[in-house]
Amino acid sequence: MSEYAGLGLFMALGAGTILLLLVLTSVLGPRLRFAEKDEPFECGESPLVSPYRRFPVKFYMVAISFIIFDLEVVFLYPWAVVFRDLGWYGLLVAAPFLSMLSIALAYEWMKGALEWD
Amino acid sequence: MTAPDLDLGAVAPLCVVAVGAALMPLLDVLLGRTKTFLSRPVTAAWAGTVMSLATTGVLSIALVMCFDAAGAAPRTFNRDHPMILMDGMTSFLNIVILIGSLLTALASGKFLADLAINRGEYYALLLAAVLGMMLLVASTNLMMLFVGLELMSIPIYAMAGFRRDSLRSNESALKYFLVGSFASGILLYGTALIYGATGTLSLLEIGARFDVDDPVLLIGSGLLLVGLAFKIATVPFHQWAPDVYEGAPTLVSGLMATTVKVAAFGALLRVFQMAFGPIDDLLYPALWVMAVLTMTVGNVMAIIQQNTKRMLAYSSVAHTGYLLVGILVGTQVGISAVLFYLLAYTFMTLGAFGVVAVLAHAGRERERIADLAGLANSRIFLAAVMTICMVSLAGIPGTAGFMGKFYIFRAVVEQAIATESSSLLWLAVIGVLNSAISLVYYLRVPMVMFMREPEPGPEPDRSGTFEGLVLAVCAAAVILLGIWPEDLNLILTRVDVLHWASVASASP
Amino acid sequence: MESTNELLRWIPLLPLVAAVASGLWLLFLRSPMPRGGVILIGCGAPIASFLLSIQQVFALTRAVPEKRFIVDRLYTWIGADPFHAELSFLLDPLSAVMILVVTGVGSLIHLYSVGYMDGDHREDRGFQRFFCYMNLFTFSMLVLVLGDNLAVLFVGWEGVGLCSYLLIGFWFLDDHNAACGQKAFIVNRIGDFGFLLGIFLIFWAFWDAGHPTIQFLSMSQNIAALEGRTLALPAWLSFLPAFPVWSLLTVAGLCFFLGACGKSAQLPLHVWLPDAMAGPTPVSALIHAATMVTAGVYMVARLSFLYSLTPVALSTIAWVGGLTALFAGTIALCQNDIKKVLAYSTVSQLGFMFLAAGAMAYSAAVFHVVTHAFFKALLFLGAGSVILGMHHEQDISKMGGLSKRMPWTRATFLVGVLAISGVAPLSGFFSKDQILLGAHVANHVPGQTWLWLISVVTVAITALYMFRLYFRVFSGENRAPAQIRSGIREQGNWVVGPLVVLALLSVIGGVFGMPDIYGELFFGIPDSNSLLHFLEPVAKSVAYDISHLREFLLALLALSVAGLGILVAGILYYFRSDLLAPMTARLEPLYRLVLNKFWVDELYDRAIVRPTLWVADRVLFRRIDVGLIDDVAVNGTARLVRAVADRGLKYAQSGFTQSYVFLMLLGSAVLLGYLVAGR
Repeated sequence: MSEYAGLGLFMALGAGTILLLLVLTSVLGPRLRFAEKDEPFECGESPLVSPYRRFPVKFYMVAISFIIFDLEVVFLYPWAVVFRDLGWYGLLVAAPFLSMLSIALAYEWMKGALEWD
Repeated sequence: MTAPDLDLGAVAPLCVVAVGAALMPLLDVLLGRTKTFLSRPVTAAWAGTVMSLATTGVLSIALVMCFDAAGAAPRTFNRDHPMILMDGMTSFLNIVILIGSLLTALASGKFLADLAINRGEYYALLLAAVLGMMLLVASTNLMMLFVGLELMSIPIYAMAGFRRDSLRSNESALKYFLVGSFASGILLYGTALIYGATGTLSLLEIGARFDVDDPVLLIGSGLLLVGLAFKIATVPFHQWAPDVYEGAPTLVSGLMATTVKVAAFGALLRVFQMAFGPIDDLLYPALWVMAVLTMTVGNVMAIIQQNTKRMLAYSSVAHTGYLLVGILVGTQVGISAVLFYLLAYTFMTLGAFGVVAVLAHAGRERERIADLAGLANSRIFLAAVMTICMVSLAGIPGTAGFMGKFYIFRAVVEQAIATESSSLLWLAVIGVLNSAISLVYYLRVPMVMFMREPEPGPEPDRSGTFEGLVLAVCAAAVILLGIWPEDLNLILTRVDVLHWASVASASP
Repeated sequence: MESTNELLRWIPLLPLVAAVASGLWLLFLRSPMPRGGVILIGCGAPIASFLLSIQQVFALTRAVPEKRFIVDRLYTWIGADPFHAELSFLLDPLSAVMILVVTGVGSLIHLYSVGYMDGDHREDRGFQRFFCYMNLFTFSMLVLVLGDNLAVLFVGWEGVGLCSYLLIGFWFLDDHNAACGQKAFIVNRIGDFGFLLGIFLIFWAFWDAGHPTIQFLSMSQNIAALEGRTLALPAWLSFLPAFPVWSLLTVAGLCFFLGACGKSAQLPLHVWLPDAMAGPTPVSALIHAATMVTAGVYMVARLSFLYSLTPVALSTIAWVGGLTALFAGTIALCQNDIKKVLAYSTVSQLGFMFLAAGAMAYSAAVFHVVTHAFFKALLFLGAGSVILGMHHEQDISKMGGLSKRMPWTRATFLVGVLAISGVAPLSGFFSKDQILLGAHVANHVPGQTWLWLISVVTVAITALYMFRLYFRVFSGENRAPAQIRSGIREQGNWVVGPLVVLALLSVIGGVFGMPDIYGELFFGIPDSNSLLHFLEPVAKSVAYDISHLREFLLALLALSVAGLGILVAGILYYFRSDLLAPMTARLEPLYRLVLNKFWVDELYDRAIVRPTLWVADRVLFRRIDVGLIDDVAVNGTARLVRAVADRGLKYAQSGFTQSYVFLMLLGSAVLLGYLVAGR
């Protein structure tokens, strides 16, 4: 078991730090309450409507498209770095990946997900 | 750098399914965009049929390839790092998975149209899930196993919630997703611990380096087991099953009860064969208890169900128990019995869910057992298929279900006599007693169909052409496997489930 | 050593296909097939399989006698080693004879049924269902005779029993018919019990001897290994002679014979056959005269390699057969229902067959199976024609004088009567002659002389009751009410055609097994008993050596005894029918005894049925079944299980995902704890 002593120490340290910070803020922090402070933080703007209302699903569409293509493209960076060393084999391996992305793009496009209205 | 030594032919069926899964959404939008086709307007139902047939086509190509591969020598994809093994067992399980999903895809066309959820994504999800299943049963590496598991699970989560306007379907999907991700997390954690303890993810290597005294490795193995046990729904990791099966679209429930379970069982078999050999004795009592609990809880709970889908869900839990018994035996005979049982189980469960699916027309679902009253008078074909499936699930001679149970319990008794193990004998006794209990709720269904007067209301739906075909195939297979099992059993004993040894010697 | 032929399987499969096709049609399409379709399928299938049988049998005869085997393996049916059963068919001389009879006579009866069941067609009472069952029966019977091992034979055996049950109760709306079907089924169960016991015993014995087999060919090759083996009998059989050690073959043989007794209606299990006459007449002809009831004889001949080694079993068979022949013959003398007379006559003739088999004259037994199939089918179909003509009147005391109105029926019926009475040179003469000869020379049977005498007397009785029947039906004045009398006429070609063909067969059927002496004396043909030589490799009959003169005298004796019977019948029922009444009055007690069939049914009712019912109802049903098993065991268990689910387990299934996850965690914790602690 002794080889796991370090792990235990690490976990104890982690938990201890969090606990310490929580205790310190609650002990040291000033407690001044006024109306603005109880409101949700909105980049300094005062909120106009309730944040608990529904908003158009289109935002989700954009967000999801962004996540998909952004993340997929991230995968291409390391490939692009060693692209020359990999040669034809590299291109061959990347081809399915890229075509999959293209199909997804085409699908999105034809479904009309790229149009706002 | 040099290209690795890849054998693309080995994974050809997977490639076919993958390409199909990728192209299916494209086909869907193309069909939607084509306003006229041969000067006829493309209706949603027509497009659905095309999608369903296209999916069936993709799956049948893969199926043919798997049949070809079944007789051949085992192959791996990457010979230097064998993470995918296509041996006899993989091919057999792939065949079972493909048959199950193929039948589902074929029946889906009219089913989706009836429920007014005729959307092409369904087929893309289905193919992706099938790809995951095939990967799962082929993987000999924990990382690949996890990828397969997730690739299978995530589309199924989405399919479970495919009726977006139905609260129960949403609930089903959300529950499945929550509990499923939890189980995935557990499995992943187990994988991490195992890797930490052994320094490898290859199942064979793990088996070779297994240190029985290492608690981390044991905990990791336990967590891995729990993760897989969740997918096959053994007690106490089964509770999601009834809720999810009840809420999901019926054909999706059928898919979850059959192919998903087959795939997870395949992975479990692999893990036991390759990695858990050294702790067989240690796991034995735990699995014994699990098998007994699973059989008993499944059967007992099934008795009080009023909803056909919930009843079938508990029934599938109970069958998981019988299958665990086969795994527990661990011999070649036991494993081939499990494989046979999986095939038989797929046909009979799919048939039963199929009948319920035919009756699941939007607005007038007939999901309660009482709704089946008088079905024999109005729809003799549906009643006949349902009866055959129920009789087979109950394990009455002349059906596939009987032969499956017969092979499993024969293997148990043989092994019990060979090793003079009384606990195995008890397992057989408990299993047979459980089969007897199960008669109560299985035979209630034909009883209701044949002897009860129907409640007033609209006539139940007819099965469509393809649905009828699927049901007929299921019923015929159940009967044929029941009276003609010997040939298949011969094939199964030839399926060299222990062929990984040759691969092991080849790997570095 | 054997050749295979995949065509063979189609002999039984054709009728099966027809039965399944019309059965599925009925099941799914609600409205029956058009009449022409039913006839085409229902009659076409047996005819096709008859033609195929002829082709196969010709193929068989082309081989040299020692190699006359054609085998068709379909698949391994049960592979639970060491118990191994193939679903496979065997065509050898014995089954060749049987399939020709089953499909040939069967086809004729199918054709006849078209005419006979016409009323059911018009009134939509299951014309198609009838042919479906008949085809199913033909299939089962063919499986029975073609099966190459005991397991397949047993499947056919049970199959014919089932079809018999279905067809006896064909008009099941009448409770009596349904009850008769049940009676047949139940009595047959007793026999089947013995048969199954025999199968288990013989398999166990062969297994013990190192040849685990139930296949006929290998059984007959290895039977020597069982010779001399003995079996210790249980204590409750201590009244038997030579207790407690019996030859295993004897016990097995007797078990099988019990099965044969049930199926072939031999004493004491004969009671179901007369009641089976509740079925439509073609059924009686096909199942209860020509084919199914001879299955027991077939089985004994099939297992002749076994029986030939056990004189005790053989003697039992011979005596049971002889006594049944006499007993049933006497009952037939006094019956007034035309079909009951024929039924008892069938029982009696079956007794003859068993007598021959017990005397090791297997070929004579099979020969009589064949000839009996011809003339008894003819008689039944003739009776059916009469019954149709008389508007379903079966009482012969209301018939008479039908010869003018039904000339074809009368002529063919007379041929049948002559044949069954054993009048030379009709077919019955030759077969019966050989049986008497077999009884005469069977030295292994104790009291063989008496047995022979019994059979001779039975020959006379047979002639007597058959001619009584003939005279009562066809001669004299018609005793039916006027409105029936005016409607009596022939029934058309569907009915008359088969009668004529069967009559021809009844006349010439004897040539196949004409004893060697007649062939030599009259025609100069050596070895004229082709059937005997044909069957030799399968069922080797005992060779006898008596002078030609003696054989000839025996035949003359049989002939004259039959003539005596005919004479008495002629006097009592034709020339001087006024003598009858005083005679029955004189013999009143005896007459009543025979009329009531020796009160066997009543005896069974008092001794077995009622006590069983009483125990079943009062003890088994009310106390044990309802009280103990239903209330305590079954319902109790069900209640318990339901309560466990309802009260306890149900609450674990709360529907809350968090509680599911919690239970999962709990389960994982237990498992992990066990794994870590339990290593």
